[in-house]
Amino acid sequence: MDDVEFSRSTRVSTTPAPSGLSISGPLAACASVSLIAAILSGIPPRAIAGRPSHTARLSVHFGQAEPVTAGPFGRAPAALYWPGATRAFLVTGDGELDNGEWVTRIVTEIEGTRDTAVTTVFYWPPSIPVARTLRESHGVSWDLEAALLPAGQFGTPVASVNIRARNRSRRMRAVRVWGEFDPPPRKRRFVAPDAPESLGAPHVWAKGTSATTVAGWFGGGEPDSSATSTWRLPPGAEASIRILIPTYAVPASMLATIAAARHEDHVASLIARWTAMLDSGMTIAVPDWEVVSAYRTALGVLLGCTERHQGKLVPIGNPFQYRDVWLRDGTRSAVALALAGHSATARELVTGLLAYQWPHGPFLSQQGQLDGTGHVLWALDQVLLRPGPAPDIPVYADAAMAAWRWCEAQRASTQILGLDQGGLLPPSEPRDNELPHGRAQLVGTDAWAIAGYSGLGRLLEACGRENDARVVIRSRERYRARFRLALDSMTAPGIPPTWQGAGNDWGNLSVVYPCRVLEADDPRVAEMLARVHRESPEPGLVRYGVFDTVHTYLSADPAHAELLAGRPEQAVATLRALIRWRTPSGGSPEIFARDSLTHGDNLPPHATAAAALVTLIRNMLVFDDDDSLRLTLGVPQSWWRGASVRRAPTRWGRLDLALESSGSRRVWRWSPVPVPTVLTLPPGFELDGPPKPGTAVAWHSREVVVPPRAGTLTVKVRHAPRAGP
Amino acid sequence: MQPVARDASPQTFVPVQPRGPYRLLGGALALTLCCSMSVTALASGEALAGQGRIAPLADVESLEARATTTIDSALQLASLSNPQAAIRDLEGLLRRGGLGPHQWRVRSLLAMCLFDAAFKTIDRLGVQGRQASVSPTRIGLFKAATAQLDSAEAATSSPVALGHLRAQRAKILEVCGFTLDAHGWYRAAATVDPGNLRALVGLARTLDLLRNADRTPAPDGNE
Repeated sequence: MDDVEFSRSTRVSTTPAPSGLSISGPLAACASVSLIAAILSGIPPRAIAGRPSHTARLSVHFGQAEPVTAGPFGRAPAALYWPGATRAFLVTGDGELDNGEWVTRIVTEIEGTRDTAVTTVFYWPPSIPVARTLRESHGVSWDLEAALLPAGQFGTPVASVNIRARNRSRRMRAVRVWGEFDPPPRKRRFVAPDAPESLGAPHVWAKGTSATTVAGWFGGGEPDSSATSTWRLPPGAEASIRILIPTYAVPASMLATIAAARHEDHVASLIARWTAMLDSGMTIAVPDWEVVSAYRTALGVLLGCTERHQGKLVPIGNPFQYRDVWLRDGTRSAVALALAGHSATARELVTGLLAYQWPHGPFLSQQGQLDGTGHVLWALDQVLLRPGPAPDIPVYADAAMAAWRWCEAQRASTQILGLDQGGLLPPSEPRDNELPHGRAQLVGTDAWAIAGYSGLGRLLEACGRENDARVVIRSRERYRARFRLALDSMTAPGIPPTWQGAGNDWGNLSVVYPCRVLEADDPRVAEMLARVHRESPEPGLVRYGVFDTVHTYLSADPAHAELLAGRPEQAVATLRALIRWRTPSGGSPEIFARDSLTHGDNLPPHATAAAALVTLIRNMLVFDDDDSLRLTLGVPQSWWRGASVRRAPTRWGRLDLALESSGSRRVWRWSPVPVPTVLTLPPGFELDGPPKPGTAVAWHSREVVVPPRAGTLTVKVRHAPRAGP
Repeated sequence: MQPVARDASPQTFVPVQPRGPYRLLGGALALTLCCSMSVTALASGEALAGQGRIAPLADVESLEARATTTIDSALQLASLSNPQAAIRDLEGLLRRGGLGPHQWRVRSLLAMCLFDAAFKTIDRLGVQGRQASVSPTRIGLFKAATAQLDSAEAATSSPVALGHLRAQRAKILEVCGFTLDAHGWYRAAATVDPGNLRALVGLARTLDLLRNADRTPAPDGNE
């Protein structure tokens, strides 16, 4: 290292740096290497709405070491999380790591000039929460890589950060990197819900301190407490330094123990663990890289947005400002995980939700949100009966029966008291989405309760309580009739958010799916869907409230209604929009302003938005919420070039599916099930003649029904004539 | 005199504030409730507050005095926004047992403190938030409060006590958003003790809320 001068440095090398990305080191441990290799070797990225695809951006970045192209939220932070952990890190493009208690800032300087650029934060490998930011200034490129190491033997999750400087210029460069802590009190973003009340002692680095706990460990070998490294890098040389930041202040010795192993080894191990987790459930392969990436990233968000309390795993709203349980969100996460084949985690989550049952029967997590009861009953069915009935269903059925009795008593009481809409659930004050201020009878509360009744009926049947099941199903029909009557009494068209008419669209958008209260072709549903699409400033998504605020996951239930109504194009548009409106690391915000492209302090990733993505993709391919299996309900023609699904949990066991397309032939191959299967052609196509005799029991232009235990079908298709205006 | 009414304590979060005449009645009721629980509690609470400390239990000789003193302390701790300390004292008193006719009152007070603990807000690094920051903890506190009321009901047959306990349960349910359930419990309280003013007002208020669902802004603007 003759030409290298450094005052404090680690691992400085004069080896010329490679000009492009090599798949080695941590990536070698990644089961997605084939995927990455495929991306880089030419699977054509699918641009969306004229924007360079994620794939293209990454290729550009690694090939030329230039800043990643900003997407719609190009400067959005990324999240580092681990399933069950009680804190996460927010990583920003200007080198900050925030654990909700303190902010650690990593500052870089070249030739005495502080680098203030804010660059994109993305995950690499894609979908794995290892955050990368790259920036370049004065011919020196900086590469920051951060990963959250799970607690494991150390007891506290710790972020391992590696900062590498590479001199790409033809001159010697003096560079410096240092770390600093933001002094409390916190002025922005979010606060960890378990942050201490008092400000306490100032945060300190591990070296040169006698403090019992420290907030970080910087590099190695320096004798003093300064967290600074200075290098003089000749052309082509690079240097790196490692930093450890715990989620909670810890003894310095703990960080020293972690530092004994290399950052690269920790990251490789972490990638392997995340990859194994993501691929342990249902996997999809469609010739659309963005869809696969979005699906896997969303799964990671769902797994990462869980917290363990007193041995119980609960789903939280997001890793930062929503570190709490809302049943209306948590159940969506649990169900999405169940649909994606992560049955064990999903079942653990619904077990955790039992803690929200009140002694008199209902489930409630937040004041006034009475829809929690319906949500939980629905989730119990969705989670416990796929891919087969869980062994301990009777326990859940008992709890659900108590909740059902509460609902029935409430309905009877509103009738007896002569309320405006007697026979439905009483008014409540949710202080949330549908009615931030005020009190009303919420349409969504009733819709979800009806969905809960359906779920309970299935649970009771599954555990052999046929009599109870009959009683519950009969009550569901009465409830549904009352709901219909209430709807018919309203003079306004469509379906309002509250029976009093006011409020924001919310639970009313769920009446078709998941609640199955109304049919998809109901005129009021059609009117409501037409209205929300008409009002939205962004195709595929729905507006929330007023002006240009667009909601992400709220759009998914209407998309399902469109799917079930035989209009898959709208569902595909929603999927495209959900994929597009994500951060560079793949996180979806809850809402954003369409005009200014900001999500404000409502930081992504939002777990329910991830659940919406997973659920929509799964149901477009495999839908099993009826008494028959429905395949390719919303699969566009472009996916037919070799799409496949593996280990999809259904109500009739795990299922594999493969699609083939060749000329006018379309072929389905799937795991046989003991119920009829309905197969749907892609939009724009129709059957070119009847299916082969004996293979189908019914068909019309876009659908074929095959008998139970069939496992393959081949049909000839032709382009369907365009519908008239 | 420092009122120890829950509705007046700064850490208590009451989303369903009485409106119009109910608001005035609510304040009077709270005061009545405290006075009926322990007149001496308030008096001695004032004295203790003046000394800036809570009387240690070890100094108290008799059961009666110990119970009264603990209730005093708990009320004062609750009014000082420290329901956790009050909970600790009251649970200790219940563990020691032998409370006899005081048991329902101690359990009622414990339920009140558990309820307050669920809503207590603190400053975390400059940001206000619930001390019980995760909902499993909060819901656990509510459930523990109602369990204490169950036990309290089993420990007394006095109509006045039962009316008080049922109205207290109704209030918990009302604040948590179970307006109809609260209405039922206020009715139960008024049935067993027709003179329970708190129950009568609660009954009227909840019926009004149920029958006149509207978009009146919530008093605290919490979303």
